[in-house]
Amino acid sequence: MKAVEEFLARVDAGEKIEVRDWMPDEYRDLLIKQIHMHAISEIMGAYPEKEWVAKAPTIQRKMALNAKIQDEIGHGQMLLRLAEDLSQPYHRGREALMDDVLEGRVKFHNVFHLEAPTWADAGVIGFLVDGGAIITQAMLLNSSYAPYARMLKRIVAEESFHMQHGESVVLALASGTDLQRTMLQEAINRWWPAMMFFFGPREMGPASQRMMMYRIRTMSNEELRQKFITRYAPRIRSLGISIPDEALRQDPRTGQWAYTDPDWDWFSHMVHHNTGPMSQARLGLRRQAQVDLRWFREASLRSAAYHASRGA
Amino acid sequence: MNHPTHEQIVALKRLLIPMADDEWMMGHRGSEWLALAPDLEEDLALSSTSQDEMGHAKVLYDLLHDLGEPSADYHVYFRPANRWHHARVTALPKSSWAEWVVRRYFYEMFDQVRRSALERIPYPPLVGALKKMDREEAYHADHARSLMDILAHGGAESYGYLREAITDDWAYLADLFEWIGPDESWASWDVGELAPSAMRTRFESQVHQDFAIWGIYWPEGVPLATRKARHHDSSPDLPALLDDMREVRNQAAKAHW
Repeated sequence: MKAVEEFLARVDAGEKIEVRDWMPDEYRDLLIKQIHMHAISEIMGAYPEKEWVAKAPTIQRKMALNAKIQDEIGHGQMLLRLAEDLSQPYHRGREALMDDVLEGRVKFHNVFHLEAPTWADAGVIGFLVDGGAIITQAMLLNSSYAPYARMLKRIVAEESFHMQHGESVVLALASGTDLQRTMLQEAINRWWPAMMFFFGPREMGPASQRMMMYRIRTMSNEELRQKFITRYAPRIRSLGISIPDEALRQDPRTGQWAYTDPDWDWFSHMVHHNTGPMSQARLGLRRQAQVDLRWFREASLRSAAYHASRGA
Repeated sequence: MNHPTHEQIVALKRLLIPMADDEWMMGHRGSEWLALAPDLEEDLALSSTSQDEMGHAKVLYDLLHDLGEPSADYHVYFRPANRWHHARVTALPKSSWAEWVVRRYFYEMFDQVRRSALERIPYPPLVGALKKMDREEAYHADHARSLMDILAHGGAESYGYLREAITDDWAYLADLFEWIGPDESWASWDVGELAPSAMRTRFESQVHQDFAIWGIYWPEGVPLATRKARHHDSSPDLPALLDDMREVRNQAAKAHW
């Protein structure tokens, strides 16, 4: 108990924890939960957008979207390496951590369970989802776990390019033809309620509260959501696009936004049980890589052994 | 040759359009593998390669634009199907992972041969562009070889997939070596390496050598193509590919996207 108290005193004093430092089991488990879910969400986030690379309307957009998805996979890979380090005492490596999503042992962000039926969705994902991710991840830059905070520096820098690319697509649509503006409005209508869920329930669950205690995270769900609305509501309205929430208004005295609650139960059930409109299709794509091509990863090991045996 | 003559411009176009289209198609088809590669590291390498190929295509379309052709975006989004001149193997629909590895390997080996031939044409903008590409393409070729090596030495299952994919792609390789237009159009540069037969011989020599290392049976020489191999008046896969690629752009062709 004394060790845990001393550990808490360290993080309270703003000290950073390194992978080889002693840490309470609960701290390790919370980090694995957070970083594993973050990593898997980065990877699953590739699927709604990847289908639009083939159809991107200009060469520049196509290459930028391809690069963005590459970044997301890269973030997933870097974060999984952190999760792998932390999971060593449990003897769980890359294969196990990647299999977890297919077997429902790790969740991924609600937004990646949803449909992205038009090119405007590809832009809005960059604009709102990456914008939302930046707000969450900027908060995590102060995380007590130093390797996570260091890695997030690079990730946040890249996410801001993604957001700018999304914003550029959104601006082009907003200043375009009636068809383009309608496409954009419909995409905003689809993604706004999902973004209200994105930051989590108004009252944080026990795991999130413990993460606050360990200073793995430093802001509440509601603080993050308010920051998001403050940043995005004026931007969307300035494009002449409406936000699909009649209750949305800011209290001029407190600065706090009132908003319509998303359907918490529906979203929560979707995330926990992979029952969203695209959950199974996207998991199916992940399965193609992880399960159907397992033979190639195994072949790679055999090929390395072959060369090692020949002294190559 | 800083200021090519009309004949030289025509000849340059006949050489560069096929190359630009090949690079575009390899990048486009490669991007379909995003987030579907066997592991994350391979996904990163693959998406990087696809971006490079699309970037090279853009550089070549821009060179063509300087020679009087329409813009790069026109070439990709508005050009009629019968004016595309890629080799059919580059645009085949996505198939198995082993097939993609094999397709990439054959293409990279061919592309090395083609670039070294084109670099002998004394047109400075082209030579400069190819030199830049060479730096990236050297990695592509090494990477393609390393994936082939895994298939070859990765056990019976992967070797079986490799054999199958080679059989599938071999018949399509002939088209790679053809240009568009008559050989006489570039004869004035006296670059023998540009002749389809010369490119085929150099390609076969490299691939034969690699196959020997990997213990792959040599399926005899690459078949010969017709001189119209790179003309797509009736290519079965192309209309669907173009419709898909242009689906968004066609919704408002002249709009800013």
